[in-house]
Formats: sequence, structure tokens, C-alpha cells
Amino acid sequence: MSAPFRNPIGGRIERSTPMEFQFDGRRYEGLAGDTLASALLAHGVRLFGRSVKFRRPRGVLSCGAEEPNALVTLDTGSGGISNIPATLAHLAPGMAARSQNRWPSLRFDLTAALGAGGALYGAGFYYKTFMWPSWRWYEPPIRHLAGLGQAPERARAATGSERHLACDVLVIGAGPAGLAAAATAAAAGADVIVCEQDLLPGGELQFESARIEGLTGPQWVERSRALLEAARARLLCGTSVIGMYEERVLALRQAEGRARLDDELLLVSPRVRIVATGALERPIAFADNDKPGVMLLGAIERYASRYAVRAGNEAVIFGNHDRLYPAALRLREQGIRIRAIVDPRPRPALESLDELERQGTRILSGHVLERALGRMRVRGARIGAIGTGEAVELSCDLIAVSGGWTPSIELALQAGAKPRYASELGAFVAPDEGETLAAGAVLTAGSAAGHLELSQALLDGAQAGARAVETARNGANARAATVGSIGGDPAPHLQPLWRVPRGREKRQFVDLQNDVTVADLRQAVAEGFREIEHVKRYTTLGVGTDQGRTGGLVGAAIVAEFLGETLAAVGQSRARPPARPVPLAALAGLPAPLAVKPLRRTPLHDALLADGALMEPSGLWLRARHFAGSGVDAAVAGVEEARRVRSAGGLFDASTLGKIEVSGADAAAFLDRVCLGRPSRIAVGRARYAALLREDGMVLDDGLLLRLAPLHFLLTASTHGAAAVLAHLQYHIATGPKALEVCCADATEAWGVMVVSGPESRGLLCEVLPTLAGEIADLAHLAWMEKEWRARPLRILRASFSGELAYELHCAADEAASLWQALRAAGTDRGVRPYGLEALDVLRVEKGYLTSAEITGQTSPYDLRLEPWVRSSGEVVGRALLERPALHEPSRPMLVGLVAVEPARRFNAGAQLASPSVPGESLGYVTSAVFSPTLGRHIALGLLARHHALPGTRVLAADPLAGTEIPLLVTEPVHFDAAGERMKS
Amino acid sequence: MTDIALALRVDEHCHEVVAPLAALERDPTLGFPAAQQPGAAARIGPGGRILYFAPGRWLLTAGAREREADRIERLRRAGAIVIDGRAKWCCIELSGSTARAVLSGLLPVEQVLATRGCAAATLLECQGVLAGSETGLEFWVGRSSAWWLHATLTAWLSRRAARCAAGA
Repeated sequence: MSAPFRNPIGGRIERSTPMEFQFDGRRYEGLAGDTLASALLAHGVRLFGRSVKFRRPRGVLSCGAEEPNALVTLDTGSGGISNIPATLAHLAPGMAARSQNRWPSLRFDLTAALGAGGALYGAGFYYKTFMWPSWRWYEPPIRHLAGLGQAPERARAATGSERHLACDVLVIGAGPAGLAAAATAAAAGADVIVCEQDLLPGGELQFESARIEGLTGPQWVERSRALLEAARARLLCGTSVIGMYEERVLALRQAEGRARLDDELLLVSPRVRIVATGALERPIAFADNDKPGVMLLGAIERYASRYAVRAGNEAVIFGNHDRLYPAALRLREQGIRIRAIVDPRPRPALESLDELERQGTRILSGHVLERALGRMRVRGARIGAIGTGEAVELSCDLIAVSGGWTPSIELALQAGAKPRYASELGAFVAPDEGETLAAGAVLTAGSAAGHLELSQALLDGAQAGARAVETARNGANARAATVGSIGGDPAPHLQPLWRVPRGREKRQFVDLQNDVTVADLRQAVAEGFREIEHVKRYTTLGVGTDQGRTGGLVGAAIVAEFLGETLAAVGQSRARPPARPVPLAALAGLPAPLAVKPLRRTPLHDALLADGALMEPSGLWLRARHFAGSGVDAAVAGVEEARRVRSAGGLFDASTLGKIEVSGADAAAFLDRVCLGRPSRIAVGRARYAALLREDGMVLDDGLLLRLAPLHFLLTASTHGAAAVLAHLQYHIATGPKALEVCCADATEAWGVMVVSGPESRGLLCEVLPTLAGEIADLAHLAWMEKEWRARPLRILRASFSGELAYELHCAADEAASLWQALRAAGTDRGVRPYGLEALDVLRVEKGYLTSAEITGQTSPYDLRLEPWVRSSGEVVGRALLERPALHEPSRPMLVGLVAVEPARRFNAGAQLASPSVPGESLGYVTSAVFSPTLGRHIALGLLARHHALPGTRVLAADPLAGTEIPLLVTEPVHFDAAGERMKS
Repeated sequence: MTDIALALRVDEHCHEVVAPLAALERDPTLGFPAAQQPGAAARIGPGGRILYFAPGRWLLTAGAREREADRIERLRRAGAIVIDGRAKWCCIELSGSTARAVLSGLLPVEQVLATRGCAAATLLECQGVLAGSETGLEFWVGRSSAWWLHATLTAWLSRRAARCAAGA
């Protein structure tokens, strides 16, 4: 299969390895080392897609990640991946790609044919139109037309992975400056990583004719590569840095020759970063500058040198600097006839001009390219003299544009560098941070720092490498090697030109990806937009997959012109991560089921399962909701299990209870500062209810506080609140008004905890622990004792969360299961069986005990009726703000009990509470609702405005979802055994 | 291909010692001489190790616990907390010459252990203690999530091996 635009020699492709691929269903043949763009250009394909708004035909503009036009959808086995720049799609055998934004075909697009795009999509059209009668009317067809490519219909399993790396120096970019920096740093012994987005290092050295230290560009690159390898530096090609963060740099490493879903996410932690990302060539806006065949000059050179592909046969070059001329000579050598070089400046004094003229190239100084001619591709160029306006039309199939270079400083800006306008470049640079660099510093080097000449870029890179080593190695000296080079492109002597002030502005494209024209920018300025960020959002300049790499600065300069200001004053839009498109699959991490949160099992997990527990996640823990055989569903089972606890007894796994040990000479004083109720007054061997407040006075969590020894306490916390309580304690140890000799540690997992509740609990315990029977019988409420079970620690605490006589058994986690089994075996005859969370909820609502349903983070101790504990406390964290007047207003919620006026009427947690006289106004809500087997009715706890919280008040429980309003009666929160006689029996 | 082997060690005799920082500042001799700086991992006698994994927090494996009994008691008298690690901690051991390289897919091992013998770390959202060992790496993790972490690492290693075999 012939590729008529492929030169017979040259390039860095493997001519012996042909690869068949498809584009829009048609078969082509490329070579290993090609990109999709180079392979198609080799076959003379110029039309790659259509623009998103106007559906204008588009070809390739560039040769890299900055490509705004040639976005394709790559077909994979499980669907397509859209918006891949053809310039980055490395050819693989059997690759199939589709063009985007066209229907029914690329050559004939109906929207373009109807001309609808131009009429519909002016700047900000969607802010002004389609308002009447409703946007919804217009949305479906517009959504159908809008958007880049199509999202896949089916989810795919992510196969990407991530890797953490650390190094002294991270060099971003392996062009001349990056390689010089990396070689210098590596030679000084630094651990160096180099990330290069291209599959090959070298940057512009791939095609420049310069000689460095007697070597050609490619030879010098190979030597640098070998030096890096010898110094154990890691050169990661095909790796794009996408985000710079305080501690880490995110990079994406493309799996060579594989689908993009295989990308590997690298999390690099460098001491110093060197941004050597080069500079991107920028276009000039002129009429019809978006036609296939209008390309960036540097891109044309790359296609020729790297892929041996001519992007056309006859070219007109349009630019505003001296480098046009050596580039023209190089292209001529590659077989492209240069018909003319159009330069708005006066004729420069360069030897190469004479040579070009001898070859038949017209040097049109003082001219501009007014318009690209042709319909579906470039057929010629209209060129006008600046002074006289005289115009000439030349036939050509390629227009090479070069409006100068924009340093790629996005990553430096992301890292916090401040941009500075460099008038000689007509662009912004990111200067270094000065002489002194901190760890994590960012240096810029080479073209990214504004050094466009090769010799300067090499020197700057070497110096950056030396400075990086000094910073990374705390002042270690590194010598910046002098890298001698000859040849290379001359200084550009650029005269900024952003647009050609002739021709229809509606057809002068600034942002090719979003079809933003000079006319759009003029309109935005006329409508009052002055800030570049606002213009960006209004016109979509610089948004999209290319992030305005090629057109962003051009647009800013044109806006500056229309505003009558300088580009330095207008600035450029902000750079934010990601710096290039990232497949979501690469960020997704491990595929399900691996990517779930860790699950935690209690030491009794297997024993519970053996007892028929139906487990459910509760936070990260797996807990028993209820047990098989208790009832047909969870609610029924919960009621039955609760009934059994009150009549005989029950066993409950409370191992998830947070257990935080607090110890030290100042432990008691510290706990007095963070817990309500004067913990220092607790005697060793006793326990007491404890609640903690946040700094704003709201209740953080509650539990029991046991004094294990004079300097040693154990604080229990709720399952969900344990981590927050531990963090709260550690924070206040570290930040207290004076240095306290106290420490705390989470001992939750060291203990299995089982609760034995109910009238039979004491007898059961005495039966299982016969040698302790006397002590158990004498153990007072809220007292504990330290014993052993099978030679392992056992703590027996008499405490109740059910209102029944109950004991908490804290047993070393590795022996907890054996104790559970002993209790189960002995409990059967007594009617003592396990119960789960459902029953626990019934029991605690009957007793008015609190959980996270009431301790919401928005309730104060006054709201929760903990005022006695506040009164008995000293200067507790949170107390100062607790006295805010707002927390004492009559509208503040208060914990109440609730019962249905009709005992059989069920109502749900979450129902809004309202006064019967004003049913639409919420006065609070039901926090927990259960059916009480003890009382034979539906009962609840709620938070209700204080002025309605008097027992006996009637309220409505409004449930908008169920469409019900159920009359309730307010009661005290304790529904059952208010005196606590059963618990203290 | 890798030579990684994964093992879960439960019921390992060890102790976690947490001491008040103010007490350590007041009396620097309170700490363990073999592991004075956070990040230090010291071997004490056969099989014994002291991992100083965070300021004022040590993990002592069996041999070390016995040899340092007096010092632990002294620490306890100064207000330290001594938690029975056999009940609380499990150890996941990754052995093999590529253990560090492989685990860097999940954790910045190079960075964490660059200048330390051990450190408090988070692996697959499980908090624990990462330590280098003679055969590779150890990750000490709470008993409640050790089974999950072991199962997840096993699956991850298997997936990774499949990727390697496929040439990715």
C-alpha cells in the first residue's frame, strides 16, 4: 500500500515493520513508530474531523499534545475512547479510529451543509437565547450537536495502576535543557527522574541541524540517555506530568502501544522539580486559518524529520521571525517546495534568504497572509502587502504558520510560580524563585524559562541541574557542565503579530478546538468583558482538551488589543490541573471489588455467623443486625430479641465500641478539660458517664470513663465516633494551654467486648465464671474489676445500655470467641440468646439513651438534657461557646420522647414535627422510632423546639414521602423504668 | 515476574508502648536506647525488634518485650500505656527481592523508608506500621482489618502478576 507523502529515506520509523490500521472504516498501512496523524498524512489524508460548533472541516495543526483539531475516537474491544489527539495515538497493529463531530460522514456533514452552526453559535449564545418558553425545549437537539466526541455507553473495567516514586530531582521534559539538567544532577550523585511526554527524548533536537560537543542532535540525545542510565537516573518516556501539588507530582505513563485505559498513574515525591517543558509554537489568526493544510511550521518539520512524512508538496510559510528561513531550507531538503515566505517585518539580513531565492522561493517581506484558499483543504494563499494593500494569490497545498513561541509554564504556575511578561518573546515566562531555594522548589529551564536559543537552553538546563542538586542535597556542590553547541536556529528577533487585521473576523480562528474567532473576542469586549478569565468563560477561549495551548495567548493578546491595553496588563488565564486530559480509568485506582473501603471484623465475627447472625456494614465494621430465627424481617426480629432481653437475657457483641486509653501524670487534669462531669473524681475501680464537647460547644460523642489506675483511664466511645474522639484528645494534648504529661492510645482492637443483659445475666455470668461468683454478685452498678479468662486479661464492668441488669465483658481479642461460646452454651437453658443492632435500638429508645441519631454534631448538651453534667464540670473544652445566647433560645431543639396518640400507628424516624395549628412549619424531627414490645406501642425519640417540648403537648409527625400526618404526644425521653430499678437490681 | 510471597501472621506476641511526650522530654532515658528517634527499627536479641513508629509510640516484638521488661515497667510508672499487641496487631509480611518495588504501587515505600527503618503508614486505607525486614517488608495492621488487607493484597498481587504476564 503506497504512502505517497512518505519520503524514501530518513525518519525514526521502522520501515521493516508495517502496521495495518483503519480510519473511518478505510484500511491504511503505517509503520512502527508512526502516530495515527503521521501515518494518515503519509497517505495524503488531510481531513481528520470537524469542528465542534461550526462543523468546519479540520486537519492536523500540530505534532503533539497541544493538538486542538485532530481528535479521534479509538475503538477498543469494549467500546471507544474519544478525544484522543491523532498526534498522540501511537500506531498499533489493527488500530481502528473514527473521526468525530460529523454526521452522516466526515466529508458530508449535515449540520455544516445547513450552515446552522454559524448562525446558532455566536459568543455566549446560550446565555442569551433559548430562554423562551423553556430551555428544555431546545436542550435535546443542542445536546445532540454539542460536545466533543461521544462518551462510551458501557462502563469498562479499569486496568490502570498507580506507582509511588521518590527522587531528589524530577526533571519534566527531556528536550535539550531537560537532558542537560538531568545529566548534571545525575552526575553529581542525585537520584533523578525524567518525565518526557513523547516516546522519544530530545525535543527539538530531533530535527534541528545543530551540533553539540561535536555530535549531531540525535547522537547527543543518545549519549545523554546513556549517561543517565549509567548514573541510574530514570528516564520515563511517554509520561506526561498532569498536576503539580505541594508534596507530590502526578504523572501519567502511557503503556506503549496499548489502549489508554492501561495508563499508569505515577505519584512522584521529588525534593526539587525542574520544569523544562519547552515552548509551543503559536499560530497567527487570519481568514480561514482553520482549513486542513494550515499547520504550525515546527510541526511540519517534525513530521518530515521524525516520520519522513511531507505534510504537503508546495508550501507557503507565514511568520514573524528569523527562524522561518532556516526552517524553509530544511523543509526544502525534505522535498517540500517553498513557494513563498510571508513576513510582515522588513527584509531581515540573513544569508539564507539569498539561498532560498536561488531555489525559487519568493521572500515577501512587509506582507501578511490574508486568507487560506480552498474548500475542504488548502489550495492556495492570498497574500497582501501591508502598506499598499496589493494582493497576490499563490497556489499551494500547505500553509506553514509560526507566530513565535509560548513557553510552556503551566506546570510551574500550578506549583505557585508567578508569571512575568517577556516582551522579547511576546509571552509570559515563570522565573525561578531566586537564589535560595526551599525543598520542594520549582525551577524552570530552557525554552520554558524563555531561552529559545539552543546554547542558552543547554547552559540554563545544566545550571538548573546544579542548583537542584544543591537544594536537594542541602548545599552539596554540583558543577554545571559547559555544553558547547554550534549551529542551531538563530535568535528569532520576533515582532509580535497575533492577527491579520484584514478579512472577515468571523473566519479568523483563535481557538480552533472551540471555534472561537476574532469576532467572538471583539463581541465579548464590546459587551463589557474585561478580565481574561471572564472572556474565557464567555467565549470558551482556552477550554477543552488542549486547554488553549496554541490559541490561549493569541486570544489574550487580541483581547488586550481590543481593550487598548498591553498583554502584560491583561495576563493569561490560570493554569490548573490536569495539564492534559486524563482517562478517568487512570484515576479510578483499583477496580472493584478491590477498590472498596477496608472492612473490619470483630473478634466474635465467626462466632456470630455460627449463631446465624445477619451481618451488615456499620461504618467500616461488620456487625450483626439480627439473628436468624428471631423473626421474618429485621424489624420483627429486633422486637423479638428485645422482648427476650427484658424477659430472660441476651448477648450482644459490642467489640466495635471505641476504647481509648488515657494515661500520664496529668491524665485526670486533662480529662477534666475535655470531658463533662469531673472525671478526676472517679475512683479507681469505678466508671462514670462521660460526654465530650467540640470547641463550639456541640456534643462530640459520649461513653463511659473507667479509672483503671490513679494515672490511667479508659474512655469508651461510640463505634462511629471513636476516631474523632481519639483525634480530639490528641489535638488537645498537643495544643493545650500548658504541656501536659499525658498520652492516649486506641485499644479498640485489643479487646473483644460482649454485653450480657437481662434478668438472667448475673446468674449466667456466675455459672460461666464460678470462681468469681461472689465478686460478680457484689459488683455495683458502674463498677468494674480486672480478672482473667484462659490466662488472658478480662475486665468485667457492670453497666447497661439496655436498662436491664447488664455486664460488659472486655476480653483479650484473641480469646474473646471462646468466652462468647461459653456464655452461649450456658445461656441456652436460661433463654439467653444473642441479639443484634435492631434489638439494641429498641432497648435504648425505650430507655431514652443517645446514639449518633441524636448526637448529630448540631446538638448541645442542653439540647440533649445533659445540663447536670455541664453544671458539675469545670473549664471544659467547648464550655465557653456553650453559653452563646443562640443556644438558649426557645426555638433550640430539645430531646423528647414521643408516642403515637393511637398506639398502633407507626411513624418513622426522619418525620418532621409540627404543631397541629401550623402543620407546615417544622419544629423538629423524629430521630429514632421503634415499636416497643414492653409498652406495646410505637415510641420514639425526637428533637423538638423547646417551647413545644413540654410532656403532654400534641404534635404532628409529618412524613411527606409517605404522605402521612400522625398525631403524637410529647413525653419524657425515658419511656420505661425511669427510676432505673431493673438496671440497679 | 516477581518473587513476592505474602504471609499473614496472627497472634504474634508483641506490645505497643505509648508514652507521654512530655515525660520523654523531661527524662530522655525513659525511651528505649536501641530506638531513640522516631523511624528507628532496632533488632534486640533473637527475633526481637523495637519499632519506633511515631513520636512516643513503639511496637516491641516478643524477644524485645522480654529483654526490655524493666524499661517498660519504668515507662508504665511514668504514665505510659502498654497495650497487649498480640490481641491488637497482626503482621503482613511481604518477602522477596522485589517486595519494595512491588509495594510502591500502593505506597510511597521509597520515600517512607528512605531514611527510616519503620514508620506509621496507610496501606489501602488501613493504618499501620511499615517496617523493612531482612526478607522484605512488614506491615503491622490492626486485627480487625488484617484479614481484609491480606485478601486485598493477595488479589492485587495476582492481578499485577497477570498484567506482567500480559506484558503490560
